[in-house]
Amino acid sequence: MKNPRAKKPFATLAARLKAIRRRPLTQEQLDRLNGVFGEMEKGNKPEPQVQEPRKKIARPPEAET
Amino acid sequence: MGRVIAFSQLPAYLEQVEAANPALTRATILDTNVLITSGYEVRAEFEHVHGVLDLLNDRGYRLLATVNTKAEFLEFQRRLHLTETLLDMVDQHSRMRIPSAARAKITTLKGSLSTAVGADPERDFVFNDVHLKKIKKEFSAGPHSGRTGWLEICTNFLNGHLQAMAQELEDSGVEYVSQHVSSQTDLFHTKIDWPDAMGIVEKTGVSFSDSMILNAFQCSHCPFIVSMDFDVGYAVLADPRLKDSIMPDRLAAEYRHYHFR
Repeated sequence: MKNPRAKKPFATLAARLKAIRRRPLTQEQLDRLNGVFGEMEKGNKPEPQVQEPRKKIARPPEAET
Repeated sequence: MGRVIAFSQLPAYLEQVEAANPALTRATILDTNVLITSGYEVRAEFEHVHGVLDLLNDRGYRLLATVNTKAEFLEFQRRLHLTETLLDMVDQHSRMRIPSAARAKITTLKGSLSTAVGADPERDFVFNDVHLKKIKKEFSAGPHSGRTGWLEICTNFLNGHLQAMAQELEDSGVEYVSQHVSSQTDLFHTKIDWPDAMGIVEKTGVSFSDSMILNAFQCSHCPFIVSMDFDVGYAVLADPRLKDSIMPDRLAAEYRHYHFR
C-alpha cells in the first residue's frame, strides 16, 4: 500500500529540480537579454566631460608690491 | 514526552508501531530542512533523507508539510536558482554580456560567500537575501535605459520555474496541511491555531517557524514527525504532549546528553 500521491520517487527529486534550474535559454532570449544589458552598460557610463582651457587671470598691480 | 528515533532505526520502529496499533494513522509531518535536503544533493544527509521519505511513501504514509514549510522550501529554491544563474553569468565561458558594475558586484559577493562557506562547511553555497538585493541594485536601469535588467532576468530564468518545483515536490507525495481540505479532516483532532503555537514557544523557546510545525504535529494524529532540526527533537523530549521525532543518526546521538525525565 503505497502513498497514492507519490508519483515519482524522492531519489529523483534533486535531479528534477536541477533540470528546472538548468533549463537553457533560447537564442532569442539570450539576444534580448544581451540587448538590455548592453543598453544598461551604455547608460551607466558617465558623460565625457569637456575640459575648458584655463583662463589666465590677470593679477591686480598692487598684488605685486 | 516523545522519543527521538534515528534514521537507521526507522524500519524497525515502523514495524513496532504498526504492529502495536493496526489502526495507526499513516501520516507524518516534514520539517523545512527535510524538504530542502531531499531536493539538494549537495547536503550531507541527502541520501539518508530521500531513503527515509521513499520508505515512508512505500509503506503508505502521507507526507504533510505546513504552509510555512512550503514557503521556506520555495524560498531556498529561489535563492539557489538565482545564485546559480548569477554565477553562470560571470563565468568566463558565459555568452551573456552583463554590465560591468553587476559583474564586479557578483564576483565580490561570490568571494565573500566562498570565505563564509570555508569557515562553516555546513553552510550552503547560496547567496542570502542581502546578497541578492545588492546584486539586484546593480541591474537596475541606468539613466539612459528604459528597462530594468533585473526584471528581464526574472522573466527569463524564474518565470514558471518555482511553480514547476512546487509541482515536483507534490509529485513526490508531499501535500500541504490545510484544515479546509476534506481529505485531511481525519488527520487532525484539534484546530491548528496561534495560541497553541505561542504556547510551544513559551515552553521551549523554539523559533516560531518550528513551533508552527510542532503545533500542527501536536494537533494531528500523526504518530511521529520527520525533522533535521535539533530544536524539534529537544521540544519532543521536553514537552509531554508531543510524540516521536525521526532524525538523522548524528543528531539523534546528541540527545544522549539531555535528561528530561
